[in-house]
Amino acid sequence: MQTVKLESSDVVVIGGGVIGCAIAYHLAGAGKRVTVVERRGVGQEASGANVGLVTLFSGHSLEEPDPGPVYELTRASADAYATLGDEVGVDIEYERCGGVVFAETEDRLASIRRAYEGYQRHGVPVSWLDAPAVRECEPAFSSDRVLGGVFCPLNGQINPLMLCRAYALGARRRGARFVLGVAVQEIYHANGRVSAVRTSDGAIRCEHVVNAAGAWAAEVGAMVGIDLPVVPARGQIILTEPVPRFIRHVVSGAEPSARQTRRGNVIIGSTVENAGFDKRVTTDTIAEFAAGVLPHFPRLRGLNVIRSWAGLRPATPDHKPIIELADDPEGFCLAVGHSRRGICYAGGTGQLVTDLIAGGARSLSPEAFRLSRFAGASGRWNAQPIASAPADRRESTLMEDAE
Amino acid sequence: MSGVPGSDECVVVGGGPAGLAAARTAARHGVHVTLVDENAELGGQYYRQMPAGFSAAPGSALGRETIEGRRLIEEVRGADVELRLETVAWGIFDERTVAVATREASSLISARTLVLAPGAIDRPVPFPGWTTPGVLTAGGAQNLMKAYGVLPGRRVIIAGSGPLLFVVAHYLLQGGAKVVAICEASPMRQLWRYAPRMLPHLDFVQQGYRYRQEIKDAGVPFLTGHVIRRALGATQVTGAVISRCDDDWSPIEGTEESFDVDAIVVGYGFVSSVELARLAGCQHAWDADLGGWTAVRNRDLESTVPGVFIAGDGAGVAGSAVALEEGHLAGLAVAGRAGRLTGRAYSREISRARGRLLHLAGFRRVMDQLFRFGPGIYTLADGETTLCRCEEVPVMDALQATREGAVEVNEVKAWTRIGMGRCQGRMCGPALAHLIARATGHSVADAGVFTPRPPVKPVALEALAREGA
Amino acid sequence: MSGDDLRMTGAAQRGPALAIVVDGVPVTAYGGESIAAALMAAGQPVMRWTAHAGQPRGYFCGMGVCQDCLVTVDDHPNVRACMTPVREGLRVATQQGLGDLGVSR
Repeated sequence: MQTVKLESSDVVVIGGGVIGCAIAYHLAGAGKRVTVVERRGVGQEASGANVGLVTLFSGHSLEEPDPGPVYELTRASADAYATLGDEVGVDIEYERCGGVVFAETEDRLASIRRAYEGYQRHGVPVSWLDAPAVRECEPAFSSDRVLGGVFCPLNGQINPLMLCRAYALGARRRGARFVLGVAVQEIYHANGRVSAVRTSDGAIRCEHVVNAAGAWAAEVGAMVGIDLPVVPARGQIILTEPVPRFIRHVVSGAEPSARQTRRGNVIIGSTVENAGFDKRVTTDTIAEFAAGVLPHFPRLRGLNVIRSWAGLRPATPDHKPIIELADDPEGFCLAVGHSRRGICYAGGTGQLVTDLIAGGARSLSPEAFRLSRFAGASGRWNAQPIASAPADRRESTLMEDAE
Repeated sequence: MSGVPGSDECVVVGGGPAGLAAARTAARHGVHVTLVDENAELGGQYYRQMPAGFSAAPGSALGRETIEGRRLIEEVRGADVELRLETVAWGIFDERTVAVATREASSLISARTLVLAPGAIDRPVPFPGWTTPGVLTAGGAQNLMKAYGVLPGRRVIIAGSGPLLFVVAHYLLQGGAKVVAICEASPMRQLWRYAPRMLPHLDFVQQGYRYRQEIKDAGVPFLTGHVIRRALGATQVTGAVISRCDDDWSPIEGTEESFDVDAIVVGYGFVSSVELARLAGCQHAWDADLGGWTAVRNRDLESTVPGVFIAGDGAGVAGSAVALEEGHLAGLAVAGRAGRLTGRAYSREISRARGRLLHLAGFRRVMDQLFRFGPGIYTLADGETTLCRCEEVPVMDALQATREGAVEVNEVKAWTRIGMGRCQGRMCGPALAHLIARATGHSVADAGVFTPRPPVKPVALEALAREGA
Repeated sequence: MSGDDLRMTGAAQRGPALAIVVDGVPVTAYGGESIAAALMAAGQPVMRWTAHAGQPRGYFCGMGVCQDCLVTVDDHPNVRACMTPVREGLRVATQQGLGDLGVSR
């Protein structure tokens, strides 16, 4: 009879991206034994392929003009990042350089105005900019058609690769284990409760399982019969050689946009496309980005493009994440669908999931992030249950083989 | 960018020996060829020509390769080959669409057949002080001397492995420089054992013997089993430290020797430039003897991507004679695909080419054994040695990343910036893979390669925004 | 070879002599040479100082790949000296760090 490696942990986190690592960091900090299972390496997917923005007021604010749960989630993350680097001893290059959100059409201007007023009422520091003020605020940006916008000093940029590194290192120092290069094959959930995870390298007994599998969240959800509305949304980016800092702030309002890293490279992007799981960069996009960014950032003229990449965002229909502890199976937690703002939500997600699992005082409200919001009036938790493999038999075999 | 599908019969990327041979042979059989090269003149590295306005001084002889190269270049210029020089091939899409750019504009060329002949680069070997001005590669020294007639220094030490070291010494001595020593890493023991296999290649042997005599007569010490250890000098090279090494090229502590020099020429073999082929989706296999990753090809030199052929050092480093023959073979295969060379004529030509390659393979095997690559060369660097030249990242940062669980070059890159610079990982990739292998106990192949993405060479943003012809 | 000139005399007939200006000082070059060849011939192997640690860099690979021989030419930064030919009156500056953003063309 084959012996299967069997270990145990309090929580298994599936996915070693920024969400999984942030969750591991916070859970381990709350005294839980955590194992992160990741089939590639830490932060190798969308977490490492994004523009690296942490924006409190941005395009997304236009959809939520009265700052609500999404704002709070971002605020919690931004506050966490402010001290994370020092806590762990990793430079995450978090810079609250401030952000300009501009409009080039009357419609958009009106939307920005609405959001600006809502945020101001809520006490968020935002200032209104007329067209000349936009240009003065960000001299690197040029537009004949800009009508006005908002400046938010809380907006900033970060190195998302180092953010993942910091969370992973911090989590490990707190006792979390990372099992890399290993895929999850099955989640045992007999009797309506998760009990173990089977991987390509053995099984792990656990009380909780967190789905933090990014663009592959639906695949993991299906393992326990949960249908998740998360699909990959490709984002392409091109990058220039490093030059002295000339873009002061984060600039939002047109795609492609440009932001400058601390090293001096300029990140130009990004697209939002339905390309399945294809992570290739296309010639059309490269040409569109080059042609599209130069009018807005004329000083980019003369620079060379040295790199490009694409990532797969985990997109939900309303661009908001699904963060919830399931009823069925018990012990199964969702931390998926962070859409375009994974970096903005990672810290807060880590805290919220820890509150849900470790039972701490709720600093953030999970109500807005329930899966049921997609299910319609019936309020059912599962949109469409998918029959999962019979787990009981295999699980008892496993237990027999355990030392 | 625009491109008419299938508008070009054959596109050859690279104007060195392999690319020139492929273009010449394909054109000879009536195929219309477009040849793309980044440089202003054809020849690549091995057939590097003197610039316009330069000519051989009366009484001085041009190098044999320069003359050979000029002949082939003239043949190509006289044939039905459209030349696109000072043009960078920066990507391959949808199997045979090549993205090219000048400084002004970018365009797509759709090819029915594609021959990649990107060549190889000197193997970058990090060692303490290797970034100091005055340290240069054997290829770089060759270009300086052959093309421009400029010496890299007045007192020069050469360290590396392979016959190219003799060639570099030859040019240095001809130019009046002092060569203080040649450090050949390989032990070169029992040369007599190779004699039988060298008999069919007497011309190479004779050339090697002539060079050997020249350096002997000039009193240049030829030190086998020695490696470079350190470049001395704050602003530019003022000295070099060498030491003995074992058969794997690992340095032996306590055997150091110093020399006063103003230039250090380093030549530890070559690595194939595989970025474009990888981007095209061509499968590669690990072959330590051929310089690392080499393209998987069939007998026609076609890669695993239909219609994409790879010839020359870009498919595995085997030298110029092989490059020429492979270019020729690829050209024949292209002509065959285009229906310009068929039946018995095709079989006859192809068999001859394959036969000559087989003949050359024997010589290659001897060379590969004599100068067998020693992975110990990658232990020359210490923790403080700069590993990534572009981003100025030391070896110790890479080691720290591996301690945190990074086991693959892309993971180390993400956390250290190694490979994120303008050279796009060319100078640090091979060393990083070996470093990771040593630190983790996994194989060098498992350490991986930097994910290939366009543009494979830096391209002006303005050019990408502007459609070319 | 005379003085600081590292050109191999008798090796080649060069193009016409011209003068480039390096860090404000005229330097002899010959038509057809690359900037790197001219600088090396003049015994000036330091072409730039790195951004992070202020380390000297120069001609290394000689084929446009290593990106270390970057100089500022006529106010345009990040020009590969080994891939760029000289011209009469060309202004070359040893590049400091990332260079200036340069003139928008």
